Amino acid sequence: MYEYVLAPEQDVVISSRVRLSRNYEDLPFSPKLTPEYSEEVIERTVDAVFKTENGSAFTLLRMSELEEDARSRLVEHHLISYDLLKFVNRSAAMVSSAGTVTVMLNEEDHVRFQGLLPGLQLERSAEMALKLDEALETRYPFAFDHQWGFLTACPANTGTGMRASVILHLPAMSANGQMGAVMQTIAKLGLTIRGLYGEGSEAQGHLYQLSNQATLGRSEEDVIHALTGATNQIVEHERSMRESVEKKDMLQLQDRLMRSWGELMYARLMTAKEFMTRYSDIRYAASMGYLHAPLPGLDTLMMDVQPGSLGVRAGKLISPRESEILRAKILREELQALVAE
Amino acid sequence: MMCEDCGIRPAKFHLMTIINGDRVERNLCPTCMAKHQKQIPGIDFSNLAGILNSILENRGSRESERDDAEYEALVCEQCGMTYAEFHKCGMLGCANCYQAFKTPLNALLQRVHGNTQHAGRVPGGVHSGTSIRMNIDRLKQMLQKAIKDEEYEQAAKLRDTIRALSIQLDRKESDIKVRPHERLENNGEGADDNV
Repeated sequence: MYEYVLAPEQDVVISSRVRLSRNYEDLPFSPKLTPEYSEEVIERTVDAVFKTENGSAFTLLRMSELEEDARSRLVEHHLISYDLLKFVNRSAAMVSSAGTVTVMLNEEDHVRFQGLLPGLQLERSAEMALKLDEALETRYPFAFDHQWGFLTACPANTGTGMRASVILHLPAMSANGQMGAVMQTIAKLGLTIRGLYGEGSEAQGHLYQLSNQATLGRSEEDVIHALTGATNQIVEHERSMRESVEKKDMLQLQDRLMRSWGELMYARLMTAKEFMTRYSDIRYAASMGYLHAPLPGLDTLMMDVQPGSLGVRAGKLISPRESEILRAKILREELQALVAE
Repeated sequence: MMCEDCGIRPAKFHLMTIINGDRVERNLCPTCMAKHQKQIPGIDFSNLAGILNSILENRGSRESERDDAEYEALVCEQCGMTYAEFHKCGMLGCANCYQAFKTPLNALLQRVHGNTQHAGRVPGGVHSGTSIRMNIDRLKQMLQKAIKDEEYEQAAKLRDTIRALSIQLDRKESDIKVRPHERLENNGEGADDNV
């Protein structure tokens, strides 16, 4: 008998993230940011973060000093945004040892605080980001206007400067062709939902990101409340869909999902795209209790076999074929270890 | 019609995608369109959107573009950014740009957020009822001024915001009173690197 601790609603919600955008009031914003000013942003922030209560837990990573795979790995683990890599020459990130708090520097805004937790924990993620925000603003004031709130480079973030999001795993709803309807409903709530990977044509791995759209006119609490409410509704719906599929023909569902387990256990070449399909199946199977593998372990493994993370693991540039071989090998070994725990 | 992704630039493309068998339609601006297309592996559309954009840009017949044209010449004295420059890149040059481009920005913020009054935390406030209370006090002062200046539309908006914040404050305070033990438990659990 084995046991592991699940974060709230982790059978459907992979993670919760809250990002806060801030700019120092006396420094030019992104389009006018010279190398001297961007260095000033890094110096101020690093100094202020290190002086906070748990400041010593942070590591400063300058993007220009990292290999391309190492940067991609940070994106794949959701520690930094893809947009941070648009400004490689000037951008940096401060990452906490547990990986739950990140400070991005010189992205579109001077500073972006991020709180990231597994499962549905938006409130706590927001608290983590806001705590840093409060600690830093006492040292160097952020651009703020009483009518418009926190001033950001892009007016789409003006106000709270807060983007809250959850990553959802929705295999049953996707299979039932319900995502279109969900997207239409979500838009009416001032929220937006999109495929996490492979956007544009399909949502690979049935992973979706749900986030708030507007940042002006609603308080942080209000947005977190609305997003949590919408997430809970989707979670309930996905669960009831999974149950009804099981009720209809459990053996067929088990057969379909567990075949993916077989593929993962024995494949010698595994593309990133095929992996996402298999991962979705085994995560679904684990959430239904057909497969005794811990969900948090599966999610970490999913990020670990993305292209950049594989490159970091290999320690050198690898060809697409080499990465397919390495991915298949890591999956065989680590999945075996996960079920043996 | 504005872009459904960024809400800032006018929509010039109609993107129809099939996500796991469901048809999803969206109206997008060239910048966001390029972002979406980049994610379709194997095909490089980034240039196509640019070319189409330059053709469409020359036509300049859209209503919102005509409105914006009036403001194109505005300049921010602090950083030197023009409104035309902002219109093109979608980002402001400094905090002062917000004042320099106040009129067109207000219209833009209204379009994007459906609102032009901040209702969240203010600097110096603690992330708790304190910041909400401070906000309410400030808004009440603004409401008095709006009534005095006979700006009734603004006053009505402020009144609604104050009402919403008061409800929130009540909820927050009853939350603290009702569940103190839960809060303690939550604060104690886990080894997050809270700062």
